[in-house]
Amino acid sequence: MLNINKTIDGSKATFDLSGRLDTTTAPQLEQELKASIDGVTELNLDFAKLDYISSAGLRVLLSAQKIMNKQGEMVIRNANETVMEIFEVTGFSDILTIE
Amino acid sequence: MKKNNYQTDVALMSVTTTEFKAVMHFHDWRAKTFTGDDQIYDVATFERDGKTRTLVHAKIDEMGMTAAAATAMKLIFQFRPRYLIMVGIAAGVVKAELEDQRYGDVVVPDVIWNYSSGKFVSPDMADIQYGNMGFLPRSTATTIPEEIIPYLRKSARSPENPCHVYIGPMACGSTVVANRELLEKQIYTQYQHTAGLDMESYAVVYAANHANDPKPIPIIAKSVCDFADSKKSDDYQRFAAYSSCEFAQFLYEKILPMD
Repeated sequence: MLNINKTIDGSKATFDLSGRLDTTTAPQLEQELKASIDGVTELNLDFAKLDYISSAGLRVLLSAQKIMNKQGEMVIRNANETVMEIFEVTGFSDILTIE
Repeated sequence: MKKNNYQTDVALMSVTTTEFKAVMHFHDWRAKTFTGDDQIYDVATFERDGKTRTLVHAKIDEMGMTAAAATAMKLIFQFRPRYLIMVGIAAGVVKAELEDQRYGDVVVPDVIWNYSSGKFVSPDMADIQYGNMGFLPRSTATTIPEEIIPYLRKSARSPENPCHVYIGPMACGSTVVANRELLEKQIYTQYQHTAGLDMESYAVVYAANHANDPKPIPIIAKSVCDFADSKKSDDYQRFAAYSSCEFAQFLYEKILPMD
């Protein structure tokens, strides 16, 4: 189960995620991002309430990063210890902007 | 499928340090050695259907088919695993039919063919030409046992599967490919539906299929870290190594029959 709370303010978009970002829920996030990030130059993903991310979730983040590389910046914030460990092991901590 | 005489449930193999680190992330491993054998094995357990299952891992100490075959045989004879799973990184392919293949997607071959076997001749003697040289392919193929393919397909379709999985032919050769021309001429012309490329899978599957009984069932689960072209980089190797291990874990903890 994944809950996405989306706030768009001009060219700034913030997605607060809670729950699990896995094979079942990754398409949901991908669809939300596709529908929302056209014209966005600042994309914030708040992972404070995200419990787990699988490779399917990481795949969506890479796609979003690819789009944002062309039009602005994507920042991931507040990832918990479990998610941060996955970012470290997978090298995402070097590829993405994580604060 | 043979049910008797296996001594270990699952054996994993990896090659690069990046792959090794990814394997180590998934279980609480301890090292195991044998007198007279310079290979270091790693052993761990996992729970499945209320039973404690055994897992072993061996890191191949150099890339390529020769070392992979030798290490696979040693692993098979030392531990007699039911499943021999090679995890790690592979090159993906950029083709219309696999348009959506991305970094971290897992290629699980049903057929593996050795594309590098053949003969270099003068260009007028071969359809595959590189400048003033021709290549006559003599590719050979080996297959994953048919009995396990339905389980691989089931895993790819499962909503619990943590990764995107492609089941299709894997091309295996003794050199790293970072050249689009070679990919088009030597690989796609021979097996146009190739879904991935690596340097060891053919040898691992060959070793398993030619071991004496009880033969392990070989499975290759390698993830895309580049697309075998001039843009090839190391940026996504850690992600690919991780996703292949995550998928392998899903296979042996949830899908593959154990008893």
